[in-house]
Amino acid sequence: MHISHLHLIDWIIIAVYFIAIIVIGFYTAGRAKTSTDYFLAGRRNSTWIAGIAFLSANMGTLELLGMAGQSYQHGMLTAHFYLIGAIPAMLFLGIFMLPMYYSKKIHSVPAYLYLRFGEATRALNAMAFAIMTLLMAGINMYAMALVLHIFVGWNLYASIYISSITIAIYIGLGGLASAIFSEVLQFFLIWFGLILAMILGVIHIGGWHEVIARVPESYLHLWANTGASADNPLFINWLGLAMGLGFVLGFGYWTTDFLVVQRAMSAKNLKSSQMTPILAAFFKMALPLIVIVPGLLAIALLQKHVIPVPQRSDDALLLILNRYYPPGLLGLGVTALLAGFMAGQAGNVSAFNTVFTFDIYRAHLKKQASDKHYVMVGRIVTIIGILLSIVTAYWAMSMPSIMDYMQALFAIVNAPLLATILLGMFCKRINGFGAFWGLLGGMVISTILFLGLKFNVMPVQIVAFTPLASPMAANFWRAVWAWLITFIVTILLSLLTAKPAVGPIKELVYRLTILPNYRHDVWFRRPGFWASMALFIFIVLNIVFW
Amino acid sequence: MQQLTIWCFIGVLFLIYGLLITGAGIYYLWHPLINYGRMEYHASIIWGIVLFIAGIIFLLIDQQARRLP
Repeated sequence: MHISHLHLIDWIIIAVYFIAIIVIGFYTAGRAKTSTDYFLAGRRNSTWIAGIAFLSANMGTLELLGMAGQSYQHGMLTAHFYLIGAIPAMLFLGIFMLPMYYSKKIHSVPAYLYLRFGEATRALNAMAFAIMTLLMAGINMYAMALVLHIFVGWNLYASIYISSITIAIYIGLGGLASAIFSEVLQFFLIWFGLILAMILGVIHIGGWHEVIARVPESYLHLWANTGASADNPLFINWLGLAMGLGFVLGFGYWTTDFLVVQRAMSAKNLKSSQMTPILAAFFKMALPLIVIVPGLLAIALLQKHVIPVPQRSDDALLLILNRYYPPGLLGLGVTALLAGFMAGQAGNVSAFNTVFTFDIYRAHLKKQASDKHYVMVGRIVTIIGILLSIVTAYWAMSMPSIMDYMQALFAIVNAPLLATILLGMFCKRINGFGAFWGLLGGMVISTILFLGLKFNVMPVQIVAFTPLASPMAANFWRAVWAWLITFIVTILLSLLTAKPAVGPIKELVYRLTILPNYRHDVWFRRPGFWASMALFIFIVLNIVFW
Repeated sequence: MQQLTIWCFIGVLFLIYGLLITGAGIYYLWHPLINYGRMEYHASIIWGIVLFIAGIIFLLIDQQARRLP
């Protein structure tokens, strides 16, 4: 039995959204003439568009529902994903890393690895990223179909095929520009589509103080209960949070995952590119309003018997939407969820087609071809990528435990990559030999630790220092170990082998790059000023909700 | 003619959504369903108007963006 029921007006609202994104696909197709147009949206995006797309690429519906479910289960601890797990990394990317990413006009993160460390490191990362992205796309597609099936009773297969065909049309035609357009659209649809339900819920219950009064006290703190692992429902202490989520996973995702970095690379100039993650940081800190609030609100509404007990914690947000959205608004709410899924898929597919075309096809299969040829390959790869993600979706359908493996992939691919990229950007002594074996070593160790924990071959306290560690806490610590192994192996092997020549790594290493100077700009146009403002708000939020 | 920006697409979409949701709110206020109270229908009408105004603002942003070099 599904949760809600759609009326004619809801179907019309959903249909209008699909028509809009198909029109966007055809419109942007006319602008995608060169490979830079197709894969980097012509590098003509303003800070606002690139910044919103940067955030939206990570604002999928799965994440929104999952995080709302987490806050229903664990309270405000979940907000760490929007604060320490994101903000320091986003600001660091904007101020310190984008000058190197942007300076050589590269198309992708693996392309940076190629210029800095050579072909082997690029190939390793490109292959890992391509596989991870395709798997993510398939899982995302299956999860979307499942949510829509549970919420409004849609057929699983029909959801998968209709969304796939739509994405194939608009990304195939317009490339990254289409993806970015749909992500900006999704951003506003999610805000305008979901926030009203929270407002109505809070008004209905009698005000925010009434919500707070019904939520356990321990659910209202960020740090107060993290002195020891046993004191909080996540079973993780402050060090695990700061190192695992705040440093390795946060920095690993926001500074090295091409899916998000590609949006910053699409900005029209270096300053706009630097401002992209800084602007996104402000919006990121506002997201708990539609992610953490529903979880807390659901606890309060449940106590007043306004909503039924969620069968799964991830249903918390859906139950609130169902309670407060009559026909019309319900269509808007479902469209917001759909837009989140579609934009997430678009992000995966556009990142996959870029990395495959440039870092696998052009690097290994056809080195010399016209620009037009690579655009054509990008379009074909988009279709192939979508077909492969449908296969992955079917795989996920037949093997529910695959979701657990997906959680692990990020710690396997991105955590070691963070060490490689940080060392590459900030230490000129690191060479290609050390980088390749360090990266491979980190990926292998992370995989071994995951399998060892999964199949109970090793006790969890070896990885996370406590037998009580939750799977999420174990994941944080596994990422820390993978990062550390990569870091140490890369340094040791680089010191034991030859120094890299300085010439080829100019503008790829911080100390060998001429950094932009914004002293001639008025203070409110400087990236440093806005990064300081974001940092200030971040600190205030942590103190207020300590 | 300058190219359309994303703000134009969002503006038009929000104008349409504003009209549809306000219309639905008014219709269901007179033909209420069993699951919802008047608060939800009033919210629907008001939110439709908010979406419509947001649509106009996005179209104005589009006009501004197209004037920029």
